[in-house]
Amino acid sequence: MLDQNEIYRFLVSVVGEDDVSIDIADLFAYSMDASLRMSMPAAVARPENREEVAEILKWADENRVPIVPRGAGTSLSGQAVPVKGGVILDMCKMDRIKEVNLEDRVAVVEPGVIYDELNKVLGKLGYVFPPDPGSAIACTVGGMVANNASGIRALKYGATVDHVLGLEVVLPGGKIIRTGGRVWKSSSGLNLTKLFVGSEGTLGVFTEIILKITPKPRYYGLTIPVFQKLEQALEATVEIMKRGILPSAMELLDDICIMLINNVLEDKLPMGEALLFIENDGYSENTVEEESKMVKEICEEKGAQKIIYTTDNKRIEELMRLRHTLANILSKLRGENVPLNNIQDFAVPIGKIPEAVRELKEMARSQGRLMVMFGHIGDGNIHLGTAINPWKEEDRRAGAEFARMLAEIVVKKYGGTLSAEHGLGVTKASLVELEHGDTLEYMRAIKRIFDPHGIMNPGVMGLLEVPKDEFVYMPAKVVV
Amino acid sequence: MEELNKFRTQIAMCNVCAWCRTKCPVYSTTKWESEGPRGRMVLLRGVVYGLLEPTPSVVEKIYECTSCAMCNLNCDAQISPLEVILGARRAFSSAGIAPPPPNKKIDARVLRDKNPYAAPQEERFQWLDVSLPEKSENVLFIGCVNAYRQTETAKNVVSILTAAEYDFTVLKGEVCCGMHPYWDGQTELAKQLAEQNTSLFDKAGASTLITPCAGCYSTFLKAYPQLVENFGFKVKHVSEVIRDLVKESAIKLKDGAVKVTYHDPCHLGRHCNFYDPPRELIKLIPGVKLVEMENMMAEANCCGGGGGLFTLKPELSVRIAERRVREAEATGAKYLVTTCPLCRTNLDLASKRLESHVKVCDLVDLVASRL
Repeated sequence: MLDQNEIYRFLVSVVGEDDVSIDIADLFAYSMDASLRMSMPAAVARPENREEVAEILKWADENRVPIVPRGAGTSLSGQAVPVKGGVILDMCKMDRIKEVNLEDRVAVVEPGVIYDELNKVLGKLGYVFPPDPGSAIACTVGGMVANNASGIRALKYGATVDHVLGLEVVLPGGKIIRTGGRVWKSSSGLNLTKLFVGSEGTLGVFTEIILKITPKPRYYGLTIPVFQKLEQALEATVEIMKRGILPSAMELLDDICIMLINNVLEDKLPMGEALLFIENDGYSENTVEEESKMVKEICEEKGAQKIIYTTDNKRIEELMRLRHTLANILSKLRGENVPLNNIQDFAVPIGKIPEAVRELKEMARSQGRLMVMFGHIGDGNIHLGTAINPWKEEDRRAGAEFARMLAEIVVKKYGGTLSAEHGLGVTKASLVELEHGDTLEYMRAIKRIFDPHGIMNPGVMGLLEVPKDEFVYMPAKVVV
Repeated sequence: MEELNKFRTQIAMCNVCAWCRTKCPVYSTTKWESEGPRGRMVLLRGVVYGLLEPTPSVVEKIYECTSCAMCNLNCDAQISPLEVILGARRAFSSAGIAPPPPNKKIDARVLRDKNPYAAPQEERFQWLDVSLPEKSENVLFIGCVNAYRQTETAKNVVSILTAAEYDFTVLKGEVCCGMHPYWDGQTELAKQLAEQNTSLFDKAGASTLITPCAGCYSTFLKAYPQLVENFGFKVKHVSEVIRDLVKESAIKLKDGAVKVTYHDPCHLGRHCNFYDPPRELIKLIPGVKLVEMENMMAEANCCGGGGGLFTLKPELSVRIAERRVREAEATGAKYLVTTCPLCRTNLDLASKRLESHVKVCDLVDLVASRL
């Protein structure tokens, strides 16, 4: 293993002194992502082009230096935390929108492009890259692809994977490959593009991404039904989907979330045990009105006490912003604790939502845990929130046990998934086997083909090792 | 590090989500994680939990901030990264490990000479060539930058107010408002200056303080009430006084077609919610057309000069200003007008370095050119 100075000297020879750091302040700042997990890299480098990335990956492979590609570090599962040290590749300098081609209906971008910045450009042309993650303002397209990120509009428009047509990837060893292309469909060979999407930096580094772009809808209608019982909201969700309506978003907020918004933010929501944010969009006013009417009727049938409806785009934006903000103001509830990230992102089949939610809530109640519930309920994606003290071993152990109990309900009983959109990262690595069982061996075999020496983002997804405690990587005091 | 512990919960409640850094002028320019508000919050998390020593490089990152408050505006967790950063600067200063040497040098000058330029006090009003009443309810506080570095602007303020026969005076004993040490976390020094100035205002029988400097304005409005007991003076920026005088026809301004754009100083705008008076004044000047930049008012990009960054890293400070000049260029305006001498200095440096067609000026100078 090379020492830090050798690593530094090599990186400087590739990207130059201004784009490498081994300064303690930099290393510590890059030790954490939005998962609030923490581990220090040995160095940070900021490549500017694929050739520099290739040179670094060739050297890293030869010298067995771990490499962690990083977009904006907005990952919620610790995908950008260098749990085995090594080098963080901050992709911020590869942030060009190389092409927007309306005839081919594609955008070609570098990985460091910020999602919202891309959509500003596309929006002016009447188009959008639609997955809309909660971190839209800050996250990078590269990070989204690595994570197969999505958000509130995935219900209608799909996750990132549904929009990636092709990739340029630098592999460990420095080889540069291209997958897919700019054609909208292809039945030619194994789909490596889809394999790379969601690989969390474990297979290679993206240096170019070809995205399918979507025309921006012109009309929106937002329906907010308020329910006195959570079950009514969940039944309404299933019924809307069953009747063939496809809203552009269908979000659930439970009573704690509503109270939190009302206490912290200026805008207020009506109180109930739950409410839904159901957005319908379209290219004609009539379609939106018609679908919204059907949505309202179903909500009434299921017992909605009150229904707010607006087609005013500005107001819709304000209300949807409340939903986005909710995820961040939850920190008011956790205080100095950290979120138990491995229960944050379950998904169950749509028809099983009411039953699964009932059981998850019952489990939390039986364990005496305060647990909030919100999320993209339309596609079965439930965000659960509870917190633990990461510095107390018994709290960590109790958290891990609680997560496993919930995961078993979701995965084993209801055929759900550990992660709908946040990825596995380091926080869910210990639960991977529960969901994937023997299939995990095939994932590990694929990992070995691309990355025989295990240098790419080691420690995430359970591909190389499965830590018993996701907090084992928390650093001891850093003294210089 | 007891003082930093006061911010422990705020630091812990930071979600490390990165929303704050998206428009941070320093991060947007350097793109180093440690040089944005999120990185600073992570570093402070390390310090407050005893995981990280506040080494000189860690301390320096806490000072690589322009205090523009854009992070507060964008913090979705509803915390104030800027308040935490100021708290950390105070804590580090109390512990004797801050400010960084360049800032410490300026603060030492402020302590000794009562201005950051090592200039004698008797030269503070050397530019003043009219006699003003000994006492007035309205005290014009000129501020160090105008007093020593932009004396033409200082003279223009006096000329405009005199031409309007406005009742005001200046106080020759005025000393630095304390903004630099205040944002450096040198609270005791800032307090000392605040008390000295306040005692001067009291003795002069002042009720209203008028200043052409955005930094002095926000220091009086936001910092003095914390530093001085019962600080009860009304504070006005000179642009609102002149606006009223023009409205009342106390002065008549000459006509002349020109297109200008306006830069909101962070310490007037986001810090004090002061956006309209300068715009209203610009629109009252005959023939002047105001065209806004893409980012204006609360969303206005910072000039890069505040928070002690101009002292710590002047080169970075001017690079930040270059972005703002480019924004001004895109409007097609001839003049980039501002209401802060520090913004003006920094933007002017950037404009010259870029060989831009945009000329930077203080709003006071624009008005004076029409007398």
